Amino acid sequence: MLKRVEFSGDHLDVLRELMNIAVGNATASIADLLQAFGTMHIPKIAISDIKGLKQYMHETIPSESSHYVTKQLFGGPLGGEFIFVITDEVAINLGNHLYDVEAPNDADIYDAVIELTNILSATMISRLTEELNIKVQFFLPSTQIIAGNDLIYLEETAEYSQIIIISTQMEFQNQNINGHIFILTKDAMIQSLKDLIDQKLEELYA
Amino acid sequence: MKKPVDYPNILLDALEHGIMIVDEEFNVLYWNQWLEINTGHAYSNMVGKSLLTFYPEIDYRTLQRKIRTTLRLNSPTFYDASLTNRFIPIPRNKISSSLLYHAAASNDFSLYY
Repeated sequence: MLKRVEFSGDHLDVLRELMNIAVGNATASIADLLQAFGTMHIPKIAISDIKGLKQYMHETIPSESSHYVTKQLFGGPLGGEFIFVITDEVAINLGNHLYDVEAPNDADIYDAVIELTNILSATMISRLTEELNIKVQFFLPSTQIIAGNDLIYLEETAEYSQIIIISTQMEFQNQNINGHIFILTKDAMIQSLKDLIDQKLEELYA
Repeated sequence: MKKPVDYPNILLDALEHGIMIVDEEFNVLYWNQWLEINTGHAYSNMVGKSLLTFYPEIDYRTLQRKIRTTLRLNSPTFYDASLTNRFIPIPRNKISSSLLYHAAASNDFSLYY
């Protein structure tokens, strides 16, 4: 059994502040690159186990819709998984906006979802890691259509004991585009994140 | 147009991936050996010319957006890897095996396949 990493109030405050900056960065990038103007909610941060993660996703994501779920791993001194979730209806709106066609085909929709995920993950994670003075590598994203809100499969989580959940919601009303973002990191990486935040705190109070 | 990458490039040609390097106007700066063999277009035929001449069917508006995203965010961008969404066609005499296609733009606007 892995030792649990305890985060103090200071650690969570710093992480929350860094994520606020990251979210602001993502909103600006989407406006610039995709000509979509909107807002992103203040990120929520929770430390949980697998059961808690599943419960959190069930409470956050509606069960009655089908969802495009795009997952992208990032690795390095801080590693984890970026998950972007939108309903199939919103995915069509997104394909429509990016490809400027009435009825985007499946390939257009998948590509549009991956493109938005790219921008969100690159801006949010890069801003976070820039603040922590590290660099990470992004891996090829993959998209699945999942009916309901069971977004995490048991086999994917077998080795996780402790997970940090960072979640936010984006809303671009003019384009009818909104979605949920989860950034998950686990076990050894949580210790790594805590160490990086300690370094940041030392910088701030030096 | 930027200066083409010298040919042959041992590293780019040793990879089991198709690699092209294009500038922001889609001029080809490098076309690796994998692409030479698999598309039938030689390096000497491609370099210095626009990708548009050979592949007019590519969605260049999307490609330009992806290149801009990559350069602005300093991070790779990806195309969907499904078989219905090929960046450029690679002729295959498929009988029973399959080939995974994907394309990504990275910081030097290279695309790999």
